[in-house]
Amino acid sequence: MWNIIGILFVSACIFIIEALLLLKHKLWKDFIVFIIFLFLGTGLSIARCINFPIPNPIELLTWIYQPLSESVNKIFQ
Amino acid sequence: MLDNGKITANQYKMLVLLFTIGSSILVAPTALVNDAKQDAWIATIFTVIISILLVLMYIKIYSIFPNMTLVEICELLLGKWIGKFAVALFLMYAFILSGELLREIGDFTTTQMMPDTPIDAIHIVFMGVVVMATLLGLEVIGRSSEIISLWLFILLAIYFIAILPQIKIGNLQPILGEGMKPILFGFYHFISLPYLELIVFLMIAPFVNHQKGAEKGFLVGVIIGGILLTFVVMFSILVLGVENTARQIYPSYALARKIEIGKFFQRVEVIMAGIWFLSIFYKLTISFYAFVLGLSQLFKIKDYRSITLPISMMLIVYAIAFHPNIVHFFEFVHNIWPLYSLTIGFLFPLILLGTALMKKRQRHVRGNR
Amino acid sequence: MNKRLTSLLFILASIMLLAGCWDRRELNDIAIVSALGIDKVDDELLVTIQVINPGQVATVKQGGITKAPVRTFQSKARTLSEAMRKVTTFSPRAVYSSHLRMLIIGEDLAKEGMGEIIDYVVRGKEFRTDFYLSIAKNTRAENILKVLSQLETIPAHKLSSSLKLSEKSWGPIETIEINQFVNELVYKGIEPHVIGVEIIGNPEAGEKIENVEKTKADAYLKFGSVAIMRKDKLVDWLTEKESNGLHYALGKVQRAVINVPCKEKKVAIETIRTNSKIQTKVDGHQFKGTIQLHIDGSVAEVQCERMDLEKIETINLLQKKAEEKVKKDILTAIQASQKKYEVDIFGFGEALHRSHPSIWHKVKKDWHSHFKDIPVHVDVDVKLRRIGTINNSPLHEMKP
Repeated sequence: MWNIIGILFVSACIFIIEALLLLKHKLWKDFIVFIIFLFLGTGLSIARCINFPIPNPIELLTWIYQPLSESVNKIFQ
Repeated sequence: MLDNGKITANQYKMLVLLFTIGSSILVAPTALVNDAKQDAWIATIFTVIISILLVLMYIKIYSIFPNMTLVEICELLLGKWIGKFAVALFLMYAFILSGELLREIGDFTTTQMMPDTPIDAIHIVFMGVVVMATLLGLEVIGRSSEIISLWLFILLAIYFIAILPQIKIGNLQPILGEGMKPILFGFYHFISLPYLELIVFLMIAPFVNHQKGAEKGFLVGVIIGGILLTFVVMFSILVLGVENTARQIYPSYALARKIEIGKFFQRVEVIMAGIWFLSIFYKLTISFYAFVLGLSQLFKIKDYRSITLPISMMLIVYAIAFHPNIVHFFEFVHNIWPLYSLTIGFLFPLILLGTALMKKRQRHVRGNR
Repeated sequence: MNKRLTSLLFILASIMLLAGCWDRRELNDIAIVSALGIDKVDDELLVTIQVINPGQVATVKQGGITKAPVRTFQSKARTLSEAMRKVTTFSPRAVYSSHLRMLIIGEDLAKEGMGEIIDYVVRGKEFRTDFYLSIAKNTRAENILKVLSQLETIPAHKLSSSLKLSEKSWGPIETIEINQFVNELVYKGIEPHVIGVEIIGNPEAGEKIENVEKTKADAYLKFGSVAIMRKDKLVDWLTEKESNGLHYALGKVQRAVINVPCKEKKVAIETIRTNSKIQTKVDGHQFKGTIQLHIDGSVAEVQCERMDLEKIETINLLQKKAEEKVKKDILTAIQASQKKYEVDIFGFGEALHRSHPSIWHKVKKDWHSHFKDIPVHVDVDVKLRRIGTINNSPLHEMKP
């Protein structure tokens, strides 16, 4: 419970620090990109707190390279 | 150019050196000795020589486009859609690299020094400094590296000199007793970590104020870094022996534990740990910087600083999420990472170079008409 | 102004938050383990830890002994980790193992196989590699740890210091560190050996404070024979001559004494440094082991009346006699290693690995069957450099 509040608090701080600057300089695209990543960051952190599964690129890479790695290991063993 | 900072060629060389020794100075001997046993040092020397060729390839790309970061080069050469896709692939590599490095320092600290501290606490504090460095810009990173590397070399010198009395030359024998295959296997693992990772320096290279200096600095940094790593591997074998090194998760730390001069200069391993904290810090900062810069160039936003903080949140989450435990971490780094690094660190720049040279010839031919 | 304030607040926050408080261990909350003893009792491991009593160490150093400077705690469990943690049920402090000086293994556990305790000691982050290994001879490790000693307030320090000193001054003694033991355990071409420690005197009297109050203690600890092991199991104890020969062959002897006969009395040769080389040569299908030993020594004591040290022939004779004596000890050790126990503690296998790796890979699977029959050639070369501060003994001039 407290972790999530902590994360939201940190997100809010980051928002305050950055977003107001961006809006002041009227950098709309930057603002949108910033919001997207802030959302992602906050979302992922909260997902971790509640043990919600997160997409893991390592799984993808392992799936892609596993057969090749096994062949390489066989060559050298 | 999103960063108005410029770094000198010497600073670039220092950064390359620090990146090369990075996390390898702490963990490389284990994999190498497991593969090549007492010939691991031959594998390292062989890898250093091959790495020169690799770096020459990177330098060639840089020399064709000295003012563009890797992301910009990629988009230019491969077109809008394929280019952006390739950039995304490269950026994923940089992101995963950063996550692995953060996890490495967290695991090391909680294994050897502070087991009760939650690993997240270490990640957050360490990332805090990395983010600060990134926000302050490349100039600050470059200048600080010159100062820090001095301390690092002093500590390294003390490290090597202090352990010198305990070497047993017999540990290197039988030289070439296992044949060439184990040495090549060691080379295969060693080139992927750290050498193929040096591709991220093509994001930093355009900010060096002197092109020839950057090219020379890249080479010199890699070579000196390689020599230092060779020393670490050799000393591990000479002092600890093959079996003991192969068993250690952090061989350099076990090596530092053996330092005993007189009765007073002993138990100094934590001071030596400072070396690895510094080297991993710089490797992480550069990877992180490359990622954030690349991402901001991909989305064409004005300043990379805006997205730095949100990205750091994601990195802290993923540093843990990538691997549930240290064994998964090892398996990935040992089996998958070499192939992934080969794709991004060798195939990708090779394709870029090929495309660039082809386009040059096309233009040349067209120009001659 | 504002910037200064924020950076000051930042620094203050960092100082307070970065102190690493999660892992704080206050000095008065830890029990510093100086010696660890492990026995096997009823299929469980009996762990005895010798913990330093810091307040008492200071008092003892000042001369007033009222309480023992160390305490021993014991616990029994199936694994070492469990046993070390069980200790907290009656020890008021948390166990801290980084200052371990001695690891003593009980003889029964060594006979059964000490492999099961190796992993904990190597894997744990608190354990360093600079402690010495020893096997308790004819007794349990717990008894060794209970003996208090004079001169050195903490018995474990006494043990480790005396071990280190003896290694330099007395042939049959050698310090064994965990790394060396593990290497010898793992390599197929050499078997480990460990120094033994025993209690001389009455063990029960050794636990009492009175033991250190007398000029001659009722019980004290003595290092002696070398235990020969096959993999991790204790096979037997070597005799003093065999231990001596082993250490000479391994080049571990620094300053020791060789007693050389002259008529009915002896001349003592003191070694200054030794240098040994163990090799395994290959001659067709035959293996041949060689030990080359070079000793620099000086004459330390002359008991005979008619020995003219001003003549070079005398020195040559003494050198030759010393060479014979050492060679005899080494051959006794080789006899024990090859024929009596069939255990390669010299490392001829490893020597073969170093010089002929391809041949080694073929024979390493059953090296001990090859080893027991290979002829070993021992070559000892003693060079006497000096003869002390006088040339001829006063006895030389002594008229009957």
